[in-house]
Formats: sequence, structure tokens, C-alpha cells
Amino acid sequence: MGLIDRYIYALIRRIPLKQRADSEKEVRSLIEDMLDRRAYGREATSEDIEVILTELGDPNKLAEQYRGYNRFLIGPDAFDTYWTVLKIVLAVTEIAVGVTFAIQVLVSPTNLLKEFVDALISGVSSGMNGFAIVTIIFALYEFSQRDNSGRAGGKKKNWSPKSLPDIPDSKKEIKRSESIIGIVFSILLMVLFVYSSHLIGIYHLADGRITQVPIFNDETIRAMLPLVFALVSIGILKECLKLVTRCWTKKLAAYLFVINVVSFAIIAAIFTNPALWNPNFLSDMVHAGIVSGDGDDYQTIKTIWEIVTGRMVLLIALGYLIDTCELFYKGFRK
Amino acid sequence: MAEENELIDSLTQELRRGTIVLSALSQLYGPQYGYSLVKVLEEKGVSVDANTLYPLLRRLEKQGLLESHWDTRETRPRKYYQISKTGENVYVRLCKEWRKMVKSMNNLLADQEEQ
Repeated sequence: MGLIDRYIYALIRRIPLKQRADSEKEVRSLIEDMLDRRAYGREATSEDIEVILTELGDPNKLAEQYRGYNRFLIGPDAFDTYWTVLKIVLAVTEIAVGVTFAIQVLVSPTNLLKEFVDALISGVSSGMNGFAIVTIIFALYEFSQRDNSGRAGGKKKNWSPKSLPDIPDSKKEIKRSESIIGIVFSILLMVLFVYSSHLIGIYHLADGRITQVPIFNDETIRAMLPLVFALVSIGILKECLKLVTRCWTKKLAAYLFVINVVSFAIIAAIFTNPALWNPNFLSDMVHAGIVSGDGDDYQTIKTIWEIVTGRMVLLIALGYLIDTCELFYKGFRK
Repeated sequence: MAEENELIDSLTQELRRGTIVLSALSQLYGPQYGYSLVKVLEEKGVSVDANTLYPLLRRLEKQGLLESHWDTRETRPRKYYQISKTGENVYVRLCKEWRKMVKSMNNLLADQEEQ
């Protein structure tokens, strides 16, 4: 009985839960019927069992027929784009980690081994982050392409000639390089904020030594990492949409508008938090010897710091406004 | 020659595949379990593998063309399938389609023989 049980186990674990008990009973009774017929009154041997299981064939294929559809996370339609984006994301991630490592070594050359190990770790883990983000985006895309009215995970939506992509005219074409730069930017953002937010700061070279004053509060950034991941995912999603569509359309502009609204909401949530900024920035600056504790330069730095921390959101809002105007212009012009 | 035979085998199988639903429905006016249906069809010269027929029966049941019940009185439990009311309607209409197809196919083949 060993082989039969193994066959049925291999079969039912690949068919939907609801059907399992029923299919198991049915297939088991089928195998017994086939055995009876083959053995014809005598005791069935293990050889008989093998012959019959061979006749039934690979349980994976049988399970596929029972399910009635193929399963995949990312289908053949989207796979090429997925592969391209994945390669870009991974390459940029590793380059960014390398650059961060170089800066780190320049700032504090004392503990080379520790920095190197840290860089290796963040290389692996940010690579995995990038992989996960891209895969999730494409899996969601794949899922959205499925017909919701039919069975779960069922067939693809109906195709119609209207869904054929436009031939991009040169004016409306989205350059691949533009999207790739966008992806690069998102990845840099991720590596920077996730692994080395403490390196974002003011650098000062004096007496052959580099000193650095961080701009952000590391702890706050760490607490807000989920928001940063969401922002990066949305940024990559935006560029993937552009890569897939290849030319400006009204629909694309509408999608990107929604994406801009959402990502501005996230970024505003990050930058309106007063705890985001390094609370000791001014005293750190004095301590690092970049400004003196009193005098005009201190007042100047103080004013600039207050303007930057207070008005950053407005600046970002302006950036988003310009980007949104641009995409509407590109999407709706003739 | 061997290659040609192989090709003919696979093409024949392709031709047969489309007829399985009709074959199965035609024999399910009375209750049958999967393997008894395999045997009935085989006796009548239509051989269908069990691994094709079983998933097909389940699909037809899901589509509402068949009804099923478990019979546990015999030595081993068996799932009996029988054509449903919808199934009967579908079967009658499919038969009409099939006869039309046979007729036009015969015409096509006869045309060729005349040439």
C-alpha cells in the first residue's frame, strides 16, 4: 500500500482544499478497481501497483487536470518585463550598497572589517528587499489580469483589438532610460534610508579628517521604515507602469496621478514628523567645528536649518505638483 | 515511417479529445462511477484513459451537467455520476452540433475523393 498512499498524497496536496477529501476517496477507489481488474482474482503484487500508477501518470499532471488551470505567480506575458526590472533593481541596489560602503570607509576608516561585514549583510538584505518588492508588484499585476467573474485563479480576461497598445509616436514615447532612472532613484532612496540614514549629513574636511553631522534622527527613521518601503514600492510600481505602457496615454496619466497622490501622502507623513530631524543638529555642528558657538555664521545656519526642517514638505509638494502637471500635459496633449 | 506513425497517433488523439464530453454524457443517462464508465466506453470501442476521464467528470459536475452521489454500501465507496436536467438539454443540442459536423466533414472528405 505504500506506493499508493504516496501517489495519492502527491496528488491531493496539489488540488484545492475543498476537493481533496472527495478526490482522495475517488482516486483510491479507482486504483483499487484497476488493481482488481489487472490481478483478476489473484493477490495484487507490488509490480501490479507500479504498472497501474504508471498508467495513471505523473500525479502533478493529474492534479493539474483536476484543478483545470495552470498556476503561476508571474505569467509568461509579464515575465520579460519582470526579469528586466529585477535585473536593474538588483544591480542598482548592490552598486548603492557599494557606494555607501565607500563613503562609510572614508568617514570612519578605523574599523574596516566591521564596515565590510555590515556592507555584506546590507548587500544581501537589501537585495532581498528589492527582489521582494519587484516580485510582489508583478504578482499583483498578474492577479489583476485575471478574470474575477470565473473561478479563483481562473482564465485571463477577454482580449479585444481595442486593448492593443498604441504604436508610440516619438512625441508620446516614454524612454526606457527615463523609467530606469526612476527605478534607480527609488532604490537609492531605499538603500540610503534603510541602511545608512546616519550617513546623510553635512561633511566637513579639516586637518585631513572628515567629520560628519547627521541631518536625520536615526531612530525615527528606523521606526518609519515601513513607510519608506511603501514609498519605494510605489515608486517602482510607477516606473513599471511606464515601462509596460511605453507611451503616454490618458489612462496612464490617471494611474500615475493616483500614485502621486498616495506617495505624496506617505512622504508628507514622514516629513511632517518633527522627530524626523536630528534634534542636536545645531550643537553637533558646533561640536564638529563647522560653525562657532556664537556669531553670525551660527545664526545663519540656525535660520537655514529652521527653514529647511519647517518648509521641506512645501518643497516636496511643489516637486509633486510640477511632476503631476507634467504627466497630465504629456498624457492629454494631442 | 516511425515518425509518421507517431504524428498520426498524436493527431488522432487530438481528434478524439473533443469527443470525450459527448461520449461520456451519452453513457450517463443511468448512474455510473468513473471506472465503470471507462469500461463501458471501452467495450463500445471508445477508449479513454482514467486519468483524463476522472477530472473531466468532476469538471462536468461543477458545470452543472452531471449530478453525483456517493454509494458506500458496496465493498469500496464509489462516486456515481448521472446526467442532470441541464446536462440533458446540453447533450441534445451538442448531438445536433455533432451530426452537423459529421455531415459537413463527410462532404469535405467526399469532395476530395471525387477529385
